[in-house]
Amino acid sequence: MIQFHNVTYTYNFNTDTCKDAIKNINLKILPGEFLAIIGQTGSGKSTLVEHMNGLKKPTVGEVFVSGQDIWQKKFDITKVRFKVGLVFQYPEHQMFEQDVFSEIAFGLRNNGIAETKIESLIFEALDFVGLPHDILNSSPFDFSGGQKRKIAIASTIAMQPDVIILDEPTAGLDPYSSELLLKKFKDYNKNKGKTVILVSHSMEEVVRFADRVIVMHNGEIKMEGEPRKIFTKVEELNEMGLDVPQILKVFLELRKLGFPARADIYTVEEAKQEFFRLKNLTKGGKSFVK
Amino acid sequence: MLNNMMVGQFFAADSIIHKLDPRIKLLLTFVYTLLMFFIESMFIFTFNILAIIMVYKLARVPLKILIKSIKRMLPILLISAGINIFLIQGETVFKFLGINITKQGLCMVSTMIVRIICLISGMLLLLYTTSPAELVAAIEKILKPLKIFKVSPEEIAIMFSIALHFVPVLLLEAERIMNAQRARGAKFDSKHLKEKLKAYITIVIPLLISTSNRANDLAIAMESRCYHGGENRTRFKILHYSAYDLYALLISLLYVLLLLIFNKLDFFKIVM
Ligand SMILES: Nc1ncnc2c1ncn2[C@@H]1O[C@H](COP(=O)(O)OP(=O)(O)OP(=O)(O)O)[C@@H](O)[C@H]1O
Ligand SMILES: [Mg+2]
Repeated sequence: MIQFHNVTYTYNFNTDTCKDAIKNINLKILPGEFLAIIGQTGSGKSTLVEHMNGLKKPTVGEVFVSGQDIWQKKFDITKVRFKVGLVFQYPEHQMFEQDVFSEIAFGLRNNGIAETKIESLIFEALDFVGLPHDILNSSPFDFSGGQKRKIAIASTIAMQPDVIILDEPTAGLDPYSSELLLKKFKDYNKNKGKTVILVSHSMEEVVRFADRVIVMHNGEIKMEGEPRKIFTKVEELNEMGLDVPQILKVFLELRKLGFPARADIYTVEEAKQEFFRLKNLTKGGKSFVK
Repeated sequence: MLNNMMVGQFFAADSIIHKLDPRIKLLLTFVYTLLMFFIESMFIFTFNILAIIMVYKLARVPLKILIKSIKRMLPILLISAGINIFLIQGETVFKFLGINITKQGLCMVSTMIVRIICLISGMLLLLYTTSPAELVAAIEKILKPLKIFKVSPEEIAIMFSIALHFVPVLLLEAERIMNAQRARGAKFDSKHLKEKLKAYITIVIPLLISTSNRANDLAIAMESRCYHGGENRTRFKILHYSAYDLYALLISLLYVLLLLIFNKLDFFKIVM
């Protein structure tokens, strides 16, 4: 679907403050996968995803979308923008329309979608983010930060892109809303077969939703693979300033204390079952603590 | 793209010129600007350019960045030169597009261009060698007398410095919003003027909103740290005159006199 070939991007190229934000990236994103990107602050995640819909032009290397080099001459880059939707960090800062309807319709109108179809797409998008239909006539500025975030996400999702990129979509949302939103994106991925790319600082989100994860460090891809495999490399991750899911840490500590706990516990559900198993083991009166 | 417009002119270096008191530099730049309007002879301008190059060397500011800035002004220079050259009457040298190009016209336009270049290099030297903070402190001191008219120089100074600080912040913000709208298909590179204008409005509104929010936040943050200008406020950067300032004043005074005297002597005009 999206392919990076030796991509390097340098900020402030040709000046004395120039800096490689991403270096020599080779990456293949398959259609229909749920990919997570993790990495420390400043590791180049945002820079990487901004290449995927042609907002940044690689200093060196090529980016292919659906097999086509998007920076070749005469290629219409706006087509890529409709195919690959990008929800920015803090998308609520991009609003400008007088009412929610026009705000969400902005991308659709730019794409030349007929007005008759727009309405149903907007309703669908509102359902997606869990907002009521009666807000369409209010001003987008009359909402709370989290609600604005949802409106902004709706404006991208309404375009029904084949690939949707989410740059830390849940930062600053309440846990209930973020959970709901991520589940919706998982549905979008599963049921519609669309590609979802999630930039996240929450290892819990990554392990629960992603099929594959890539780990960025200082502008390079240091690891990639299934989340469960990646999180077994606790030390390497710590070295890159990253953590493993909280629950896993509990079980790793238990193992250090001498309990025969498993080292691959990532979710609350798994933790529950493991605790029951451990409890049953201790029933015989033996203590595992040395 | 917006990076090219960055206004951060200050060029940090360790030189005598950087160490001069900003008030002195401001004053000297002002005098120098006036001086440039009194000079008419090409010879003296040439002399002045040599002097400027020497001062740039003294300030350890590479001439390369000065030339870059002048190049950016070139279109404006050429347009005004182009207009002037057709308008001045006198001895015809040659005809161009049916319009007389006169000796006086050529003379006047070349003097004008050199004068503007001299002016720009002088003012830029001030910006290259004086940090915005110093500049603001100097402006504040110079505006002190305005207190009689109930104008608070501290408030003007703080407004200046906030504005200076926020220019790069706002440029980054504008670029971010531009990208966000682009991702939703806004057509900034459209060939239709109307579409293009529409696309730019989608930046202006969010930018205005975030600017006013930011201003509000800043005001609250300042107030909650008990900011108040004026009375009893001590400052981080205290301006002191040094011996160098005196030397600079004397040397400049000599220089001004020298140029003015040369300018009076018709001898140099004949040479030209
Ligand atoms: N506009 C810019 N100008 C210059 N350098 C930049 C700019 N934006 C980012 N960088 C540099 O590029 C590097 C990567 O930045 P990027 O925004 O991609 O990081 P990130 O992984 O998204 O971080 P975060 O988790 O904080 O969002 C940073 O180290 C930063 O110094
Ligand atoms: Mg980022």
